[in-house]
Amino acid sequence: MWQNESHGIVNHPPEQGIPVMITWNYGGNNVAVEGSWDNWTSRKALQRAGKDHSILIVLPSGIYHYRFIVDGEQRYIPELPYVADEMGHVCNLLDVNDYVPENPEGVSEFEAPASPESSYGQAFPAEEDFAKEPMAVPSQLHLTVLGMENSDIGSSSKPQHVVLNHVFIEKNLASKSVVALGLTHRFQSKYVTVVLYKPLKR
Amino acid sequence: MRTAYELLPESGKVVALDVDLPVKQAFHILHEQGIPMAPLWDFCKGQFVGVLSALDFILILREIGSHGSNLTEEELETHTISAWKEGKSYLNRQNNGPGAVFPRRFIHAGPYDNLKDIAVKILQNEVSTVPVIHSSSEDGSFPQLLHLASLSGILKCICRYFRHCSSSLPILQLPICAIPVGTWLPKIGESNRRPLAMLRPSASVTSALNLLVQAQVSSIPIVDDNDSLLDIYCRSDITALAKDRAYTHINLDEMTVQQALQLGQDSYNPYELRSQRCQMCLRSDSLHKVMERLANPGVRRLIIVEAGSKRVEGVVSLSDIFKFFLG
Repeated sequence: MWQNESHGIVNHPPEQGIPVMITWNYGGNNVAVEGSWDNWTSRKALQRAGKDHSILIVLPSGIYHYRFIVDGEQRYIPELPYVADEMGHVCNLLDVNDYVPENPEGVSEFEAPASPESSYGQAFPAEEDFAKEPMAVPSQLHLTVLGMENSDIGSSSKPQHVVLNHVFIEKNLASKSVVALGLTHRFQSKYVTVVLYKPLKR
Repeated sequence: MRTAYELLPESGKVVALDVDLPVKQAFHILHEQGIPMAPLWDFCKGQFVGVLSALDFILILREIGSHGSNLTEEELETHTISAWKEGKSYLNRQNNGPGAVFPRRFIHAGPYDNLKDIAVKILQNEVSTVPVIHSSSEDGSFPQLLHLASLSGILKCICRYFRHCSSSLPILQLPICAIPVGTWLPKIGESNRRPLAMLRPSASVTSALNLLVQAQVSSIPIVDDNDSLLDIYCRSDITALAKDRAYTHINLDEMTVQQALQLGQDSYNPYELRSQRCQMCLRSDSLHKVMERLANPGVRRLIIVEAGSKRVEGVVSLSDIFKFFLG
């Protein structure tokens, strides 16, 4: 269904299609949809279930214009994003993302657990604390965020939630006087790994 | 309204540098990580205070090269970024008179800033990247570095918008030679046009660096005697000189651009083809096609060449496209 347009659109490598549901809940007998995904060439009929009409379309990531034809009349949904062109024709905007945004409120792992019963203080560690063996690092934290590929070309894979907000330290093998600190944190639905290079003071 | 948040990939990485790092090591890190610039973190202030970029390295090299520098080699090893930045602002005040104020404030943006405002910020301050920083407190404390916003990322957002509905903006189908965008070789009879900077491969690195600074461009096409495109020398290529102690021992007046490019190719990315470095296009290519090409990460400009002979006709860059649309 994806055609190469003749007027100057660049050939992209075939993009993965993402299934999108388009719904019309305002009644009518025959509802169809047409859009910029094929340059308004074809109309697709929606399937009716009572008063609701819907259709599942598979599209590459991007932004599309579309509108509904309800019993022969051009319509759009005012509750969804829409745009008007210079001729005054209005159509809805469809934004197809290639990832599913996280819904942090819906993830119970993000709720902080209650602190266990114990005594906490803010005293700095004393000499005897450094004499003790450090606790073993849990196996989930063995994968250091500092080993990640540089991600200015596309995004790296989503980090595991367990490594978030932990500081990783890597001594630079080439130079003994520089150390790298890495931290991955979540900002809304996205993840950012910041690597800070710091001089080691003698 | 589209905001900077959209520019963030689902999972991304940003590198920052402590402002007390010696400059030499900082550039080594930039080169090793394959990045052209990094924001600077000041532990004492608990803030990001600026950025270190390839342009800083060029200025340092020029200063070492000129006999006015009073930095010994040992001092270069320990000369910190903050000392360099202080010296630089002192130099600016010296060159521009006591009345001139050169407040190189730290240019940054927030994640909810409008994409158009960020593009304007980039163009007006003549930078290539603006760090996106978020602080949940009112006074800006505990800043979180989120992303480095560039015109390339913004253009990618724009292209995503137009890719599947390009009929809504007819100007996109016009060939670029018909639009006032980019820098072109002046035709016979045309005067007072911004000249297109080009160099032969035998030109010295010093002349290349001077030209980059004076012409205020980020790259120079390297051409042969027929003005056919051979390669391109970019501002970011300068970090290749950071490997080992190359830049303290070479004489930039004697090293040619060709040798410097060879140095970069050997070390940094042996798989990077010449064709990926010099992205070319034709004057007949449509604006839409040019924008799609420029939206690829790593591509900052396209050299407009004549089909077949590869004679250089002009250069169209990311900032040219944005200046055209933003007026």
